[in-house]
Amino acid sequence: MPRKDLVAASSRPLLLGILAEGENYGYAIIQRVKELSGGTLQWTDGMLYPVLHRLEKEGLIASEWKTPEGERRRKYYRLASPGKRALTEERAEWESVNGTLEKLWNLRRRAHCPA
Amino acid sequence: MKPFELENAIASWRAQWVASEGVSRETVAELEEHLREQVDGLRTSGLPEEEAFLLARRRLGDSGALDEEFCQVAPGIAWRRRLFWMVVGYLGISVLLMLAHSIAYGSAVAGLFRLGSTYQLSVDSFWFVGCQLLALLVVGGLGYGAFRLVRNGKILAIAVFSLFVLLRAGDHLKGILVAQRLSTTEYGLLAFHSSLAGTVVQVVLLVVLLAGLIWCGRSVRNPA
Repeated sequence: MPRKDLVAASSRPLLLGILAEGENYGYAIIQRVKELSGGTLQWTDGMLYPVLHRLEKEGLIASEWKTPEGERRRKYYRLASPGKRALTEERAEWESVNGTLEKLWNLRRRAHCPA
Repeated sequence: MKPFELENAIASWRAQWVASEGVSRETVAELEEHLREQVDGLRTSGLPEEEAFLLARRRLGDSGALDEEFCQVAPGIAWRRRLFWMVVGYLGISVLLMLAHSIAYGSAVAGLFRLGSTYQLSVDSFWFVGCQLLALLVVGGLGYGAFRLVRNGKILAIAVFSLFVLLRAGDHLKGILVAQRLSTTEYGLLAFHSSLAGTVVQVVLLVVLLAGLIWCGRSVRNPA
């Protein structure tokens, strides 16, 4: 399980990205995180909700209580337009960081094992 | 040993949020839905009900830490809630004092005490003071019982506020009636003894409030 601050920093793009796939609710979002990370990212279930509420307060996502056919009444979240823009920005930032690190580690590897 | 009851367990989980500062009722409902769904999921994979609930509750996380997180998201809520309870507390104590005072006053006017013919302490003076303290205790106990029964803050606030207004109006009315019914000397004597009883009650109240501050203050979290 990665460091606390990494998990915290990645929660925004992760949540925005999952909601970009379609509207969803708390419990299912946590399952999706587990699924995507192959079990390495295990959030404390309750901690998801303050993050969701903060995103909603910033206007990036919107919520609605719904009762789908044959299921229980839940609070569903969906991505709002400012959220879509924020997601694009987050993605750009993470890709730039990731790209830099990848270059560094690929170079290192090639230096140690000359082809 | 009592058999495990899921609804009771969830109800007592829910009850711990009553005192929380930053968490709205809607959020508690959202967390409860999550808890129930988690319990269902665990039971489907074979866990017995009690284990499923305990695990689900543990996964949801420590309520104290969660409360702090929610407070940070919406700090306004916490302060509004504190102000609300401060005002209810003020109104509640005023109602308590006014009721006790009215009971004692009423008993004196109705002739239960003969408050002596001079501005000096008589045996009846002590009975008068005792009557007010007793009334304070009884009314305080009833109030506490009502508070425990009515867990809804809004209903409590409306009830306390209405009582406050009624008693204030009654106080003024009483002043007029008593001044009309009693002779000047009798009124003066009653006022003297009433102010004496009032002093004793204030001292008792100070001690009780200080004790209350210390006892409740031990569990108060300082705002981050």
